[in-house]
Amino acid sequence: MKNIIQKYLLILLLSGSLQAVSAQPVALQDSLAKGNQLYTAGKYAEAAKTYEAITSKGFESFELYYNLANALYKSNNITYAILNYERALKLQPTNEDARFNLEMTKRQVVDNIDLLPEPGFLRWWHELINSRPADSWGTHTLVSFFLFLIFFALFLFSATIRNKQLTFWLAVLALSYSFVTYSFGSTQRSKLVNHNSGVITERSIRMKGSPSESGTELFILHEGLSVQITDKLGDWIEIRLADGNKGWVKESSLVRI
Amino acid sequence: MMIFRKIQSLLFILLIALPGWAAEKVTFTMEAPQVVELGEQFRLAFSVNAKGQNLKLPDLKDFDVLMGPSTSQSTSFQLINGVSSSQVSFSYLYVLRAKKEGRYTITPGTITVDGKDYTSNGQTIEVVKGSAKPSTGGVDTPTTTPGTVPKSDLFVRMNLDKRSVHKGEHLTATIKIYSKVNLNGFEDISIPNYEGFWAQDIPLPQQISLQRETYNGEIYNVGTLKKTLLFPQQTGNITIGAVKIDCIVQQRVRKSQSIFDDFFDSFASVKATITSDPVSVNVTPLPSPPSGFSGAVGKFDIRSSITAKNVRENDAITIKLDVTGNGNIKLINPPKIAFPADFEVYDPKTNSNFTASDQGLNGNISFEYLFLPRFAGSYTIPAVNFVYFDTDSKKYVTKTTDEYQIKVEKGDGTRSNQVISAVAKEDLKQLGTDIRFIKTGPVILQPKGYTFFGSFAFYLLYLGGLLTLLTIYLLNQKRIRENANVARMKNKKASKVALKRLKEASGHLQSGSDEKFYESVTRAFWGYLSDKLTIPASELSREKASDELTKHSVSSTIVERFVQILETCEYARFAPDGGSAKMHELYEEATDVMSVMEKEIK
Repeated sequence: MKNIIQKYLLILLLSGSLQAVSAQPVALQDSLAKGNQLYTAGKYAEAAKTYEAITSKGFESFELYYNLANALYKSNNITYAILNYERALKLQPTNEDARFNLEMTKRQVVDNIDLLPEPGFLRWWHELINSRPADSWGTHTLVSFFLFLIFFALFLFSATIRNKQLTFWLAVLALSYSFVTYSFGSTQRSKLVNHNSGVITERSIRMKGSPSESGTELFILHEGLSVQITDKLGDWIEIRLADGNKGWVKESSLVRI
Repeated sequence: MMIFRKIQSLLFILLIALPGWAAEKVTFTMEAPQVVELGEQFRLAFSVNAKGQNLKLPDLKDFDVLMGPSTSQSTSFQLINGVSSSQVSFSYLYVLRAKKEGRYTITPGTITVDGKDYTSNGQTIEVVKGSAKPSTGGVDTPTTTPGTVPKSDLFVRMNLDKRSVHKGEHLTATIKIYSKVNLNGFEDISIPNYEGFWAQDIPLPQQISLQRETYNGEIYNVGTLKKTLLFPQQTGNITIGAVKIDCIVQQRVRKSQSIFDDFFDSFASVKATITSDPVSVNVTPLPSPPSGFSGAVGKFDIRSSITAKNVRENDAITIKLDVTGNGNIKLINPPKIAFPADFEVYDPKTNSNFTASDQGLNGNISFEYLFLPRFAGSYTIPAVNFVYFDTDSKKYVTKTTDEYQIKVEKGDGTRSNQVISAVAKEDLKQLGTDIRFIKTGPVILQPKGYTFFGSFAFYLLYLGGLLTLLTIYLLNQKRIRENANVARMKNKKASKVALKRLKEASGHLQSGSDEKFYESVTRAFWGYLSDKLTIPASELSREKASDELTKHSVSSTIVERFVQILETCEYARFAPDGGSAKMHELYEEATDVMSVMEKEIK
């Protein structure tokens, strides 16, 4: 009886959290559709405003950021278009359309930065992690965990030694896959939650060697540049450029992705 | 003089007898100076290049006829490569003198040649007040020091017909030399390079002929050195540099006051350098041009023609645009034709043909566009808009050509191999770049930063899975335990049940119901074995039972006796003939086997 109660509790909790996700006001869906109409009609600035109203209510989705970025690009707001493409790509890291559009948009950015060459294995590893969003890895780790449980149960109940061996190794495999995908998922989630990258929004700023106005000026950066945020001190943050250079800028000169 | 004339006449008579007299077009012209001074003598000459009759000369009442008309003839004969040609000319000469100042028109004269009347040109003669020192005729008394030529006697001017033009509109620059002295020739003429203009020379006769003209009330011999059409390429005030000419002037030099001097004048060549004043032109820019402005300024017309409208794939077609008119023809850009995107279009070939004159540049320019339709289908080549600036109305004018419908059929088989390979290799033609379109499908909006991964429900699923496994495991363990208990109980109860059934059998033995007795014995044994060996009764057979008993270390004699009892029972059930003594014996045997079995079974 205790078990049955536990099961029901689980289902109840699950459905409750899913309801929180799917319970979106109909009004927001309507304004999304309206934004799409405005975009199609060529009223890009108005479409961008409509999309922004949805994000300001605390909701997000890949499509919303992608459409908003398109509308901003068309109304010549390159910097914020890049910001929103990056946001969209955080939710769907491999979306080809968003990548293509970001590439197109980045051509209009002043600064041309060569990517720091990464060892082949590391690049492959990062690409592997980045190939799925956090929730997709979450599904992987859960499914493989359940598979582990099934194999383990079979291991327990199987009578012959051969079956026991087989199910044991399958269970070990499933459990290790579950661990690996869990770590991928948590990496992806930390990117999403920690907001440790940003886009420069000021027309041109000077990157300093230390977090103060008197610091040595290292580089001039222009708006639209994507950077990694590595540290924070007061209202100064340390940023890392794609070519590996690091320096300090005022936090107000960029927007976190 | 008379001797010369006689020789000429003689020659003429000689030549007239020769065959091959070329019939030439008859021209009848009048020649006279344009400007004369009052009281000056001048010549009025009519010349005709054929023998004519019935010469009618105009009325010359405004002039005093001092001499004439005197006639003269001249004949020239040439033999080139065996072909002979000759020219004859007759001239009628007057020497006149003007009576009064003013402009006088001498009406044309007429002459009849071979029964046909010819009329000469007319001429206007301007009579001006005589200057203090007559420049021609009489005795030339030099007032200046020898070796120099005064500026007022020899100078060069550049005349512009317009001082203010639009950019691209033509103006005519004329370089004229004014002279009162005896010009012998030019050594060096340096013309300014017309910077800021596109220049086109108007052809002039090779020989510079001096004509009399007035300038500032004085008569000069004036020669036109050069006439140039100028098309400004810049706006603003453009200054044209000076013309510099080195002239050679013949000057009379008087060596001494000798009596012979008047008869034997000695002349000296004097070099004089004359320079014109720079002139400037104000060039105003054109009003802001509409799109498609060709750069043409003037007055134009455009026509287009096409070589074919129904063709096969990869057949060449040419569209020819013909722009005719007056203006800066050479500077017209080829109009753009919006060909369908997958046509192979070559650069237009430009051909221009024009003549420069005082009226500007007249002629035409043609643009030939060669193109190849690559794929079958119907295409439209839109009309071409030719935009030019009209200098008369000071407005942009657009002329439009016809549009063409082209039908392209599939290429024939003979060329298809080549064509297909070429088509297969063709890259996609990129017409433009743009970002990809927005997503319009159904969207699931999530609260910001929400991921299922790491949420409470996510970890709950792990927990649920683990708990399920644990539950299943525990339930199973319990079942196994319970099953084990049931077996033990049955085992314990087995002999009890068996004894009860045997007692039942003894009851049946006493009451004499044989069949029930045997049944009870059989059931007692089967039930006992089923419980004792934990084998379902349905699965038990005699062989299986004996096997199991042997496994549970029951001695073979007992197993044999047990099998014997079962066989007897089964036999007796279907053929009951044993009698009560035999049944009693079986009962004893059964209880005995049962008790031994109970002891031996493990």
